[in-house]
Amino acid sequence: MEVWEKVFVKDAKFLQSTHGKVGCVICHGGDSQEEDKELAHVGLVIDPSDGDCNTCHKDVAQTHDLSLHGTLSGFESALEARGGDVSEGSPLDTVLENHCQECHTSCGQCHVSRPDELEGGLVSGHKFRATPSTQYNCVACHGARVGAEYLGENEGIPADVHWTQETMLCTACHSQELHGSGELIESRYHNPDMVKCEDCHEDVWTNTADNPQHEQHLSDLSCQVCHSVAYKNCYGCHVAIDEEGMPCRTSEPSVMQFEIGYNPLRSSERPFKYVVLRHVPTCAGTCDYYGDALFPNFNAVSTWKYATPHNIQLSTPQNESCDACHGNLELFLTEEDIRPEEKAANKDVVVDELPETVGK
Amino acid sequence: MKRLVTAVTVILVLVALAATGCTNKGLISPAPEAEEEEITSTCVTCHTDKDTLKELATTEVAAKSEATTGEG
Ligand code: HEC
Ligand code: HEC
Ligand code: HEC
Ligand code: HEC
Ligand code: HEC
Ligand code: HEC
Ligand code: HEC
Ligand code: HEC
Repeated sequence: MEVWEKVFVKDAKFLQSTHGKVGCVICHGGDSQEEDKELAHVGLVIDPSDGDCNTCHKDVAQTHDLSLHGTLSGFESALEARGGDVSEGSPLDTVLENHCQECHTSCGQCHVSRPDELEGGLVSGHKFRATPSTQYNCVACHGARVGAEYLGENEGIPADVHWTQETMLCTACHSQELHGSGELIESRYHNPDMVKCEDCHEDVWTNTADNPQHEQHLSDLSCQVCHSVAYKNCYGCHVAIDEEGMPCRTSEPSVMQFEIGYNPLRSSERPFKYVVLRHVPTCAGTCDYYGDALFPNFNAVSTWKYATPHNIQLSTPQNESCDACHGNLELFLTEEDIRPEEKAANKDVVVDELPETVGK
Repeated sequence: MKRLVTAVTVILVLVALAATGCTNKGLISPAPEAEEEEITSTCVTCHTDKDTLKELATTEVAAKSEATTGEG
């Protein structure tokens, strides 16, 4: 996208809309009487979302302020869970500021402009789009894993059935639950209003007559154990500041793997004993640049985490038959799959005993 | 008679003015200031003009570090 295009209010209809009539200066500051660009831009606020939406959208603004997108509380709690100190002024507080803030999602980054990850720019004129763009908003931030899986961008691995069969956009399943519930939450799997497969496939539980696998396993295996395929796993992320003073990060090349393990988030909402697990980029030394031993309790949480890969298929290698899965060592996360230095962290999620073959 | 003619004329003119909404303009039209300000806003003039923007837009400094490798 050209630089000028990013700031081009191409649709004059915007000026007549509810938002346009508010007037540029009310939202963005600056001086609308100055002819000179620099002078007109004195005091400019590039992203006015933080203050200017709540006058008219109080309800959304209030819950958004506590949502994962608004707070990035998920990043903070992930560091804290390993014993990290994120209090103000601590080394990890600096890490959050330098390396995580860019994903802070304002109203405008879903409804008006492309996020910082794509270096900004209006999505369509200056339209306030009720429905965010899958490509320019959601996938701009969620591209590496979810987006690539959903759209079939990983070599040799098919796109999600909801994309190939129905061209469903992210917003076909994810909607206003993204504004948050009004409560601060711990992780991406704690949003109480999150979409569920069963919201649309209501009858999988009741109509199991022709589906012996559903009949046997709906309550102890998550849907993805049978319906997703190999997904991206990342290792060895290190964050630092480069020679020019800019935040940077390095990580090992990602690996496509499929691993079934024990459910680290077992609860009444997620009763499954088995789920698929994704290796997260974090390692003990991820933040070493900022200080020694910043995770005194690194092993408190696994590095293979609860996952819901967005590459759902009707038929998968593991659901071809009962014994495609039973006794198939390849599919399960076992002791041998774990790096030596991570064995302690993952002791609760590795499978110690495979289901025996059933001859079907 | 002359007075009556004058009075009728004045009344007719007033009625005509009232009917066209002229006399009331200041009272009922919605906040003209806001609209006028928008029309003369240099923000609008500039940000809706492709050529001006092409001329004035400056290439931003690279927002990302070259030292970054691998996926986020
Ligand atoms: C109701 C508040 C509001 C009004 C009024 C408004 N804007 Fe915006 N504008 C926003 C928001 C929110 C964004 C998205 C910012 C972001 O996500 O970084 C934005 C983005 C922009 C951007 C793109 C910035 C970027 O790099 O992504 C430009 C240019 C812009 N506005 C110009 C204008 C002009 C010119 C006017 C007047 C015609 C105007 N805006 C009126 C709220 C407003
Ligand atoms: C002056 C009051 C006002 C302000 C300030 C305001 N909005 Fe709105 N917004 C409205 C109204 C009224 C609607 C209902 C639809 C319409 O009239 O366009 C709306 C609708 C929307 C919609 C749905 C668009 C649609 O087509 O249905 C979005 C998204 C939105 N606003 C986002 C924002 C964001 C983000 C901000 C802050 C940058 C903001 N609004 C600031 C009044 C406002
Ligand atoms: C992570 C992305 C995201 C962020 C951040 C976000 N929204 Fe939304 N918003 C959505 C989605 C998704 C919908 C539902 C779209 C649909 O129904 O098609 C939506 C819908 C809306 C609507 C339309 C509601 C309606 O009744 O149709 C408004 C207004 C709105 N958002 C305002 C805001 C405001 C104000 C903020 C910031 C306080 C905000 N949004 C932040 C994703 C987001
Ligand atoms: C500016 C970057 C950004 C944009 C744009 C964005 N997200 Fe996110 N999203 C995040 C971050 C960061 C999190 C928090 C991750 C965590 O804490 O683990 C998140 C969390 C989520 C979650 C987890 C559950 C929750 O409570 O919100 C879902 C689902 C999600 N995003 C979907 C979407 C969809 C769909 C869109 C487009 C409408 C979108 N996101 C746009 C960065 C973004
Ligand atoms: C067919 C429905 C569907 C579509 C389409 C969909 N999702 Fe999801 N998404 C889900 C479900 C179901 C979950 C798991 C929720 C749970 O278990 O709590 C989820 C979870 C997520 C999460 C949190 C977990 C994670 O994997 O990080 C993110 C982020 C997310 N979706 C982003 C997206 C984005 C971005 C798109 C578009 C590229 C998208 N989703 C399209 C249904 C969908
Ligand atoms: C917003 C609604 C929605 C959600 C949420 C949703 N699906 Fe679907 N799904 C559909 C639609 C629509 C189709 C295509 C029509 C059909 O075959 O039922 C489909 C098709 C499928 C198919 C292929 C069925 C066939 O016969 O070809 C599978 C398998 C599937 N979904 C599994 C899932 C799983 C697993 C989840 C949760 C991760 C999920 N779906 C979430 C709407 C949804
Ligand atoms: C033990 C493995 C297994 C689990 C767990 C599982 N499925 Fe299935 N599912 C299957 C198999 C096998 C089929 C039939 C495949 C075929 O026809 O090739 C199927 C078929 C489907 C279909 C197609 C229509 C139908 O009802 O037969 C949908 C939709 C579906 N599953 C959704 C889900 C959802 C949603 C979940 C989680 C609540 C789930 N499945 C859990 C194995 C599983
Ligand atoms: C994708 C993997 C997968 C598929 C497909 C699958 N199973 Fe299983 N099955 C498991 C796992 C994992 C366990 C171990 C459950 C446990 O530890 O509680 C299991 C356990 C069982 C058990 C023992 C129940 C128990 O609670 O100990 C039976 C019986 C069984 N499966 C039958 C079947 C049949 C019949 C089919 C085919 C119609 C089937 N399974 C397909 C993964 C699978």
